Amino acid sequence: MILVVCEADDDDAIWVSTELSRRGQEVTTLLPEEFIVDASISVNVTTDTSNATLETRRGDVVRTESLVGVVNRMTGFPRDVSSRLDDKDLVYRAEEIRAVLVAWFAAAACPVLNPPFPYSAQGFEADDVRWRCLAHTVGLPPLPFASNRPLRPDHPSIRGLVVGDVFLHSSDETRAPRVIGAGLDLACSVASPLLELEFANTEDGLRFVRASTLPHLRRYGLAVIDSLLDCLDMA
Amino acid sequence: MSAATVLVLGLPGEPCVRSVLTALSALDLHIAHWNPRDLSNDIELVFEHGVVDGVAVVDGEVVELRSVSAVFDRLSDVEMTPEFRRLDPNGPLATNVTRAQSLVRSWCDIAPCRVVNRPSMNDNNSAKPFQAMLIRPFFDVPSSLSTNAMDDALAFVASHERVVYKSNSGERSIVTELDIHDLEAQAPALRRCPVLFQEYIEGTDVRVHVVGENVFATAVEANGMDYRYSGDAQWRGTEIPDDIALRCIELAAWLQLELSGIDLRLRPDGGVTCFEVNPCPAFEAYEAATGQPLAAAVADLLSS
Repeated sequence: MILVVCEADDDDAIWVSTELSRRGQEVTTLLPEEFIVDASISVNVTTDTSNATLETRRGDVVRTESLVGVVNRMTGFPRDVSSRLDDKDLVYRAEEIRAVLVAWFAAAACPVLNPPFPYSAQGFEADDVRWRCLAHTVGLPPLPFASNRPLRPDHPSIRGLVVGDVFLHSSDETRAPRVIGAGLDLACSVASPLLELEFANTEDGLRFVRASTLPHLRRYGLAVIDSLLDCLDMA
Repeated sequence: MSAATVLVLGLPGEPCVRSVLTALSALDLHIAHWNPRDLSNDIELVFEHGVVDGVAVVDGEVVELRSVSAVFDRLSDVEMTPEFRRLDPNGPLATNVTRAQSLVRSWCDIAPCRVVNRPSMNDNNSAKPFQAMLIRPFFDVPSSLSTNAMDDALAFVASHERVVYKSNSGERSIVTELDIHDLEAQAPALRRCPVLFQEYIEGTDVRVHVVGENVFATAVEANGMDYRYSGDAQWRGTEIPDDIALRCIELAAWLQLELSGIDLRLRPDGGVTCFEVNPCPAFEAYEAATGQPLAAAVADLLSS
């Protein structure tokens, strides 16, 4: 089973879920809230193994051992605001749920695109300057950064999408092997197999601006679905 | 060109900040201290041609970031300081102060010098079952269950002779041995909030501080389950076998921590179980109890 976790208005994730189903894959789509509202969640960790289960309010049971892949599109860790707890207890509970959710996804042995980080539900997050340093490290020439200058470049934006070991292009400028190789390295270096890279098309050539672990998927067409299935080894 | 500067970030009253500042002052170093209560601190960052640069105003002094040779980071949220709370939260000063804090944290993650520790490397400890999965290649970890499901909790308890429970996150909790009757009585609370249940591990508690590649071990004997809250805890510096020390160094390096406090239990069967790795250890308390030169080791690391 492929698990897709997304917000109710995440049209890209719902499109992925629909297209995967259309190709005969068993897909379960959950809202982040379904992990916590009247749900049972368990994560087992031993020296040798880890596994996790979730039983949602509507009775769906998800076991990490049964998953062949996870598409995680959470934009934040879910919080149950309906509880009649005081503020201190709400904070404690939110922290506990966050910690367990991070472990829940980490317990899955299958590919997770992308795994939550301890304080970032959608996966690796960084500000622009850190992204550009990371890009420089893998050989992607970055746009210069200065904290006292506007973040938005005055150049046309060009994007490319990493899905596992495939680089999908929204335009020809990103087709250079050097860009593709470095883009794949960048995604690998931040443990995010699903990563959209944004470049500025400058007079000096393509310059890396930033990356996102919550990419716009539909702009790359059905190639995204093929690449996802490749990544999950289900093509 | 400015002289090499060691930048210390944190409240001056915080024991570890205080002891590191004292140890650094014994060395021939230029020290800049970013106290979050000083709202005039500021920073601008530049990244160009692969070089991280910029300038900071720290305690009224202009510091070229390229001159900073090392950083000790214990920065607490400026929003918690009384000075910040007196500001109009929407005013320009509050906006600039929070911006400066965000920028200095960003810089600590990318600064081309030693940073003890980089902020983004501190997060793993805030999700204990997740951190346990990172620890496993180096040490045994206790069998654990994080759950809000009573049936799963009861099954876990039934499969272990003794069980303790604690928080899953970085929220402070006292490790407590589980009484099955208490668990059943707490069913509604468990349903609302997951708990970390862990098999009880027999043995001797050893806190290992790893400072760079130096290891300082402290054995702790106490009657309670959680020696931090046990009034009778006896702390003494101890030696650990080289292979365990090496694994501690490798684990800290794997987690990209220049300074860490690793909680081990040496089992009667000769094995070693690791409970967690603390990226912001309160080493000053261990130094006070054992005389181990931890602050001096941190200062040496910052000056090397």
